[in-house]
Amino acid sequence: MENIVNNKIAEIINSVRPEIRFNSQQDTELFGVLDSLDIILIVEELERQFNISIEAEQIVPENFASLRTLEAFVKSCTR
Amino acid sequence: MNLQFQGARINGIQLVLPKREVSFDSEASSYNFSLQQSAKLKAVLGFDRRRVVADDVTCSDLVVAGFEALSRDGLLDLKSLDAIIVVTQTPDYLIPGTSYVIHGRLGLRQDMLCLDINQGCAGFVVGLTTAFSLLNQKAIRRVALVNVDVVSRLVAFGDRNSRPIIGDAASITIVDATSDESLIYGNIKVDGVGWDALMVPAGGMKIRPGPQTAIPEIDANGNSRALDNLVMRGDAVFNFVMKEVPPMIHSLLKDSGFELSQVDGFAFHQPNPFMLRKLAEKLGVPLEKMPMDLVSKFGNSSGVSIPAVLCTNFEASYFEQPRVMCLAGFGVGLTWGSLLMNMSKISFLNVLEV
Repeated sequence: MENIVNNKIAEIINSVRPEIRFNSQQDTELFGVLDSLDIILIVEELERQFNISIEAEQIVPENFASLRTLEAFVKSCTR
Repeated sequence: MNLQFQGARINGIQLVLPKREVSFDSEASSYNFSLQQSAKLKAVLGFDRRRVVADDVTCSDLVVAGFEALSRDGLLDLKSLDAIIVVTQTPDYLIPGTSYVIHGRLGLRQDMLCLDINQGCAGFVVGLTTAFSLLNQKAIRRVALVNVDVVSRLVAFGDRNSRPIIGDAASITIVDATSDESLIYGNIKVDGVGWDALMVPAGGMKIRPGPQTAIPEIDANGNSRALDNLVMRGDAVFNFVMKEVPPMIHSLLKDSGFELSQVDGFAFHQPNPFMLRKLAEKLGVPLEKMPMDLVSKFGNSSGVSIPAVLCTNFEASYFEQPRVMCLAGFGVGLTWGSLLMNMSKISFLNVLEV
C-alpha cells in the first residue's frame, strides 16, 4: 500500500515536470526544484487522485521539501 | 492598521481594456509545455486569454481614452474633477508622474491636485483609502482614482511563471463626497522585508538600464528573463497571501460588526483561480460570491483587477439597492489591504475596448 502511494506521488510529480525523472525509491529534494506553478498543479492532482482536501496553510515548504516529506504529508491527509 | 472613513462613495467605474487579445494556446509552445500540461494549467490556473497593449502603448494612452469616452458619453464633466490619483507600476516616464501627463493631455483645470502612487495588486485599496482621505477637504468633492498598468511590456517572453497570466488594463473610478454617513471600514498592512518578492531589478537608480540589463539568463526552473524584466517569486507570494489575507478579512469583519454572511460580494485581486478558491474555502465564502474569472478572460491586471471584477461581473443596476461589498488587494510591497463598504446607486460600470 505504502509503495503504491509513493509511486503515485512520484508519477504525479513526473507528470508536472517530465524533464526531471523522480524515482519513488529515492528521497529527492523538491524545494528549489519545483516552482509555485508546479506545486499548485501537484496539489490539484493530489487532491483529485487521493480524494483529499489540502488546506491553504498546508501548502508550505516543510511539506514540499522532498519526496519523503510530501509522502508523509499525503499519508497524514489520507488517514 | 484598521481605518474608518465617512462621507465618500463610488459613483462609477470605467474599465479600459486593450482590444488586442493573445491566447495561451498560441504561446504554450514557447514554454515547452506538453499538451497535457497546458490543459492542466488552463483548468487549474486559468491560463487562457489575456489582453495586452501594443509595444508603443503607454498607461496615459489607455487612461486618456477612458476619460474621453466618459466625457463623450455624458457620464463625467472633466471640469468637475478636484483631484486625480494615478496608481501604477509602469509609468510613462520616471519623471514626471503619469498623473501630470494625463492632466496635460486632457487639458484639465489648474485648480486641482495630481498624485502618483507606485502600487500594484493592492493599488485599488490603497488608492481608494487615499481618495477617501482627500475628500475630507472641503475643496475636494470629486476624485478620479486611476489604476493602470502595462506590465506585459516588462514580462520576459520565456517567463512561464508570469507571462501567461499578465494582462494590461486601466480603470477610472469616480469617488464623490456624499452626505451619506455610513461608515467604510478598511485594513492595510505592509511587510517591506518581502520587497523583492515582486520586482523589476533594473530601470531605477539602483541598477540603470543598458545593454547588460537586457541580456536574459535562465533560472533553475527554465525561466528566461533579464534584469529589465518583472521577476516574481511565486512561492513567497503564494505563502504570504494564504497566511495574511484570511486573518485580515476576519479582522475587517470584526471591526465592522458585519457577519461574513451579510456580505453580498467579495471582489478580490485576481492572482489565479486556484489561490482564490483556496482563499474562499479558508474564509468560508460561497464560491458564487467571489468572482475568479478575470485571469482566464483578460489576465491579471495588477491594481486594475478589483475594478475589473466589478465592471465585468456586476451590472450597475445590481447596486440600485445598497450592497455590502468586501474588496481585497494583495501583492507587491508586500502589501495587503481590504475595504468593507456599502455600494449603492452606482451610475456606471462600463467596459471600453481601445
